[in-house]
Amino acid sequence: MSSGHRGSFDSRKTRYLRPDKPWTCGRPGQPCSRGPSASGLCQNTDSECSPMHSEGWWRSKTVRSAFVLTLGLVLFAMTQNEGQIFQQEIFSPGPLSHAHGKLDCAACHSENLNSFGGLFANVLGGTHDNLGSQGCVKCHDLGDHSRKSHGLDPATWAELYPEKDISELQDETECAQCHQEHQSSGTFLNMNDRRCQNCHQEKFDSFSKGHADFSDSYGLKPRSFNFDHSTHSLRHFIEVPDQAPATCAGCHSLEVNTGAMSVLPFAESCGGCHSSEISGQGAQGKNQGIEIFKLPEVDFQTLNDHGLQTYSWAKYPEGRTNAWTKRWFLNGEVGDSFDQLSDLNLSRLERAPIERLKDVEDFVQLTQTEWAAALEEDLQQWVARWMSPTVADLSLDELSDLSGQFPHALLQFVQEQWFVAIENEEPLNLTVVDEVEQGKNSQDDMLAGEDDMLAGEDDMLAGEDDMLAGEDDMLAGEDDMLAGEDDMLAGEDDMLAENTAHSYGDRASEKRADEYRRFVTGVDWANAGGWYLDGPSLWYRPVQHADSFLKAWIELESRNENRDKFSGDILKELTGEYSAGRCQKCHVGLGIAGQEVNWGHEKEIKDLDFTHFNHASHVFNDEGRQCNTCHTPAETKSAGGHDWLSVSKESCLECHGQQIQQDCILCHKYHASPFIRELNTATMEIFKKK
Amino acid sequence: MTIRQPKPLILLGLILVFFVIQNYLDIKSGELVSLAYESGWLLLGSFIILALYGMRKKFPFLPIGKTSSWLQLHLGIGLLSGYLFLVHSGFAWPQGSFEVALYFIYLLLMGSGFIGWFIMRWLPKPMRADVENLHPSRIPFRRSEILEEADALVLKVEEGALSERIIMGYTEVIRPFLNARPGLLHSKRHNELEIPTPIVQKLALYLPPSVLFSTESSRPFHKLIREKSDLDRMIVHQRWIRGWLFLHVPLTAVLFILIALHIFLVLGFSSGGAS
Repeated sequence: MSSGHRGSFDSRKTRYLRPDKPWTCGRPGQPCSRGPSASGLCQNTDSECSPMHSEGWWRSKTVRSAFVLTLGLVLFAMTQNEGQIFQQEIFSPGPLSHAHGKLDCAACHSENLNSFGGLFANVLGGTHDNLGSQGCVKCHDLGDHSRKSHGLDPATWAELYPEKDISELQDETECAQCHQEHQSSGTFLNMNDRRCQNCHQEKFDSFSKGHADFSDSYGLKPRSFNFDHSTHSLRHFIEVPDQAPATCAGCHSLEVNTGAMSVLPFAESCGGCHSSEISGQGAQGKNQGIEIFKLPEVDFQTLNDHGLQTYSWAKYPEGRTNAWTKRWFLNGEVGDSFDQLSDLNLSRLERAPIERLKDVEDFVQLTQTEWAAALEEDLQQWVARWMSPTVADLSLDELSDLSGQFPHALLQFVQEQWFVAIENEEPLNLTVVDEVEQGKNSQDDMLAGEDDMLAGEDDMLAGEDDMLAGEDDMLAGEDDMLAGEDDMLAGEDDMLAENTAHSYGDRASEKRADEYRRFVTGVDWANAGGWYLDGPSLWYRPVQHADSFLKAWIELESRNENRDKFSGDILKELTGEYSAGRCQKCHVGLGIAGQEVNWGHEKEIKDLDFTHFNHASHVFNDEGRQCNTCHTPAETKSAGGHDWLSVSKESCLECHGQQIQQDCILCHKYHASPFIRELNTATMEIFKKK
Repeated sequence: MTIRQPKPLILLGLILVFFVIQNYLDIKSGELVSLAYESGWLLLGSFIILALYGMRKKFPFLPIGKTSSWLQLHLGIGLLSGYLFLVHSGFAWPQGSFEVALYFIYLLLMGSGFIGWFIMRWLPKPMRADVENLHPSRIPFRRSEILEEADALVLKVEEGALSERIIMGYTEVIRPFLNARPGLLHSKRHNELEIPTPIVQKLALYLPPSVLFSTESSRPFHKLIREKSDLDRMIVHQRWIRGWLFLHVPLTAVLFILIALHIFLVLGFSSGGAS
């Protein structure tokens, strides 16, 4: 019998007894003295004995079978599937969250996983950092310090807590330590109070027991609006009760998406009373337009006296030009010429040497030439000349806002009005006489008054002379045009009579201009906002809230990188107390050089944010809690201008710490970096991988 | 059931190890680090020590402590590894196919180990009580002898009023029982007759057992049925006492492969993210 013989063995029919004792072979009539081997095989080569396999043999066979079967299954699972080096779905440790559902392994894990060689390399020489964060930050850009404590630059910590040792804050943490993928629950987050207390060593029992009191400013955001609740409630709303809101919701609303409390749009809140101020009307109305381009006054009389060739110029300019116009000059070919004249008073050239007068002549000529050239340029080039040379990379939207959609026709019209050469046909000289309170006077009255003015017999002239004599509102600087006309009326009657040789317009042209004066004039034409021409100046009139032109220029000139020596004057012009649009009346902090403009009340994205609060979960459908449950009016304004007291910890303790949870992360956020609020955006690269 | 008193040194050592591990994990759990590596390596270590017990049995001659001490260590570390396993899995059900397999095979392995330990402690005494002085390997032979004896007996049944019923009962109930192999569980015994209750109930269809086993000629049937029943009980006990190892040991081998693969995948996938 061979050692491999294993015939059937029926112990019920044999005398076989105990294989581990002196042997009796299982086969009848064949006693065996050798017995089976350790593996249960027959050792008798002479007979056909086939002993019963031992228990160990069977167990060993079972182990081997299970081992081989498992190994086979594993090898099958490691076979290639759809381009992957193994069956992904078998080895995936769990379903991905819905946001990551379309990603394959290599989107987050090492790209080495595309081959077994790479996988082995990872196993043998990898960092084993429990999944680095590189894959995460590919889409979730949390800035350069995403793995540092709270996602902040250690330098920021040093700045925040100069007295503390921040060496431990240099340590890095991987995203996967707290955010765990492949979890079916979808919570993704593994964070608890103990993890907070790992660093925050000043341990305390709970929010209700031991948590520090809130700061004096908690609940008081930095003010973006200059608004006084008390004055409005106690005075203004009493005067105009029909405009008074009945509850806080009259001006405030909840942003359902964020849970933040916000102010209703201007039209629904402040606009009821303050809309007319923007267009320069009403009791609070002051200036109606902003003088953007203003030709300087030039003493053409002196130039003529010296026999210099002059060209036409806008009628009745007064004084020096303004900041925008200076930029326009300096940004063009005429810049050098204009710059050379900085020491001259162009309106009084009597004592200027002839060489300087020639410079003035060149300047006038170049200005006219450049204006004509501007007609051949486009709007972007036109707007660019008003900006600081340091301004770069503006978007089309920004340029559009900064242009105020300046119409080409107006440019051409200005060319015809201001810059017609002497030898050419006489210009129309459409000089507009503007009046404060224009809307109150009838157009006919105005035309009649101006007719009379030209004749020297007009009541209005007399009245305006009186006004000049009395140094009235003009002196208050409320209307440049009034001032211009006052000057004209007071001292330039002669000029009207003498200006026959120049393009300032003779009597005939004045009469022709009168025809135009019968039409509605600049500022009144622009009662829906926009550009208009008035005398020697181009104006822009804002009439509605959030005027894009004003916003764009204020933002542009406020940014440090865009500023030049004219920015201060421009900002002053735009954000003065009584500037057109009256932005400064409500928006706090406008016109401060280098300060980023924050028009809204929202939290700035650049701010660090360690806590979050959701108004929605506190005031919706909760009759027991209203705004004043937490917010209490203050008797006096704080230094920051708030007329509310800060929110106290006690107001939270009414619920939290008792029947409501009080975990750290209920109010605190680990990711304080502002980048966290830019999360949930993914690069489009993810689609290229599918 | 008898439970051996644990050896103080082993018990103390295990308690100490438990507290050291627990304290370490407790400290680590507060940090912004993953405990998966620490608990995983500890779990692997415990698994290797548990497997060493099987190796120890292969080399009984080695002077490395008594097998009973190793068993106690095996049981203690088995308990400890159960705790580590829960820590490693985050006290949560697994999600992926492979991890589910790993999870449940580990549970099966640990469960079979403790069931085996329970069987070993609980069964030996009943086994001794069933059939004395009969080696388990002898049972099939003895069972066939019993059948032969019963067949011989039935031929000797004398003609009488009950002979037909006796022969019918033998043919339909007693002989199939004597010829049958037991299952995984033995039948409940009749209190008075000490034979399986189902046999009593089936025989009652032909002749009440109390009547059947009252005659001189049929009384040996009762003895043979009782002996066969005892043999069946012994076989069932043998199957349990040795059978659990047919689950426990192969599962150990399977788990070794799966653990190796698990470590391979974890190390492979945990090395750096996509660049």
